Amino acid sequence: MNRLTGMILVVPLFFLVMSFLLYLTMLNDELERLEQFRLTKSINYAVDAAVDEMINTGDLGMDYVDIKKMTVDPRVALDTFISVFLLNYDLYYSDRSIVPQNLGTVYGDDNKNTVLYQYLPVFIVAVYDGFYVFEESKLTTTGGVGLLKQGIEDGVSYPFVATPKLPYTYRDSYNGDLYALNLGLENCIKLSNGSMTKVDLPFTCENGTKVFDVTENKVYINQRVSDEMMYRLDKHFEGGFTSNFYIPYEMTTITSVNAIEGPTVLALLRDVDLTTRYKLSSFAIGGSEVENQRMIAAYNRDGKDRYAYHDLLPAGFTSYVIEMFTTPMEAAEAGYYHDELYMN
Amino acid sequence: MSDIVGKVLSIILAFILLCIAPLSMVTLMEELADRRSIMNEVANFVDEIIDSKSLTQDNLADFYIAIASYGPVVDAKVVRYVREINPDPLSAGTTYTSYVVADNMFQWNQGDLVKVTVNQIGVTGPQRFIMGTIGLVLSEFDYTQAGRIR
Repeated sequence: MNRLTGMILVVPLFFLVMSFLLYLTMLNDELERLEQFRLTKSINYAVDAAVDEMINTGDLGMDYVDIKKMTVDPRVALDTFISVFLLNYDLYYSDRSIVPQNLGTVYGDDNKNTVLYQYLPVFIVAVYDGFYVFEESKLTTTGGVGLLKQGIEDGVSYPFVATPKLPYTYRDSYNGDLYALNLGLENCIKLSNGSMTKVDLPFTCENGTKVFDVTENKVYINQRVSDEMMYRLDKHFEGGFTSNFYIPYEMTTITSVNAIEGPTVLALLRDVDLTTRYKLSSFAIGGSEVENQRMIAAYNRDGKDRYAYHDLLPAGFTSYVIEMFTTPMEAAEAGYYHDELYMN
Repeated sequence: MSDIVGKVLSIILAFILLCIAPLSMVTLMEELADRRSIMNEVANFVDEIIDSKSLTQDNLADFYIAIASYGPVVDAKVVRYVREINPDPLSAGTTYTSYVVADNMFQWNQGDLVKVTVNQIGVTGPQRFIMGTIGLVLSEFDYTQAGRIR
């Protein structure tokens, strides 16, 4: 091999090495993307499950007086979220804090607490008139048995607990009136000079310069939740959280994120490294919509069983109603006929 | 015929750079695209179950055909977890929830969990090719997706 060939051969050798490096980076990128896909899917399924479980558990205490008002248990949402998320990674929901209290100190090193303390910095459940924020909070106990984080001295524990329900508030910057908003989008509670009154939307505020309507209501609710989430994340990470969170009040083609319009669960997972060495993060928001059911009234008119929408019946007709249904199909299955007089 | 070593080396390098490098690159990309397609199929299948609350033999057969139509030979397992809520023996008045694997996976209740696991059997062609040419070991494909029946 003469000197010239040797020098020229360096060039293809260089290309060979570079192509190997290219392989490795491409493979890494692609595998990371696949893991990101898995995480995004998992968190979405988990959040959907959490919302659904929360809505379908227990008595929601709903009525027609306050539209969309319901009482839910945010703890159920958190537990469901974790169990479905774990199952997505072929792990099982194990909670060693269930052991009897007299067995001594319980350390949170099971699957549930791994997710809670390592991956889930903040978990928000937004409901009708406020929201709960789950996060680690420092708790000093004396001789008690708490859910302790590993490596922390006895007596100080960091349980993952929910805050009291934080209201959606809006403060009038002119006279300092405080408004407690809700997702019903029909009215709100005004706190002014120590007295609480119910105000219907829209109302004027800021010395009459601002009309507070349904859109403003949505904007302030979503802003309140995003601000709170941002604040908690900033507090959670040492040196502050570098990214920014913003939940829009309406879903658009630009944002493609759903706004908070009903009972909602927001979850952020960060540094998830269950199946990969990459630390992946993902955010998901899952919600549900509560609609008024238009009830079907069934009655006997002129000797024939008929049904019609309850609100279409004339006043005073209610006493003739035999039973109520939720859909026309159910009414028809029970042997009632479409009443053309009132339905059309 | 003075520089025979240099010529042979150049031919080998040219072969590697012009044939093996692009080919292994393409097969690698194909393999990863196939993996993503299978992940999408699994997600679709889980969606189908949790939205329709039902699973039939036909659905299952469709799913098996769908995941078999890509490169890797994969085995799929659908597991149904039935939700059981029982009174907690340790503290009266409270309950605890557990999920138990059920045999019958053609009938679903709200609150059940479905878990679909797909794992690869054997080594695929691209995997063997990449292993043989550039010595890169691509881990076996293993994917799980779980959801809750709405």
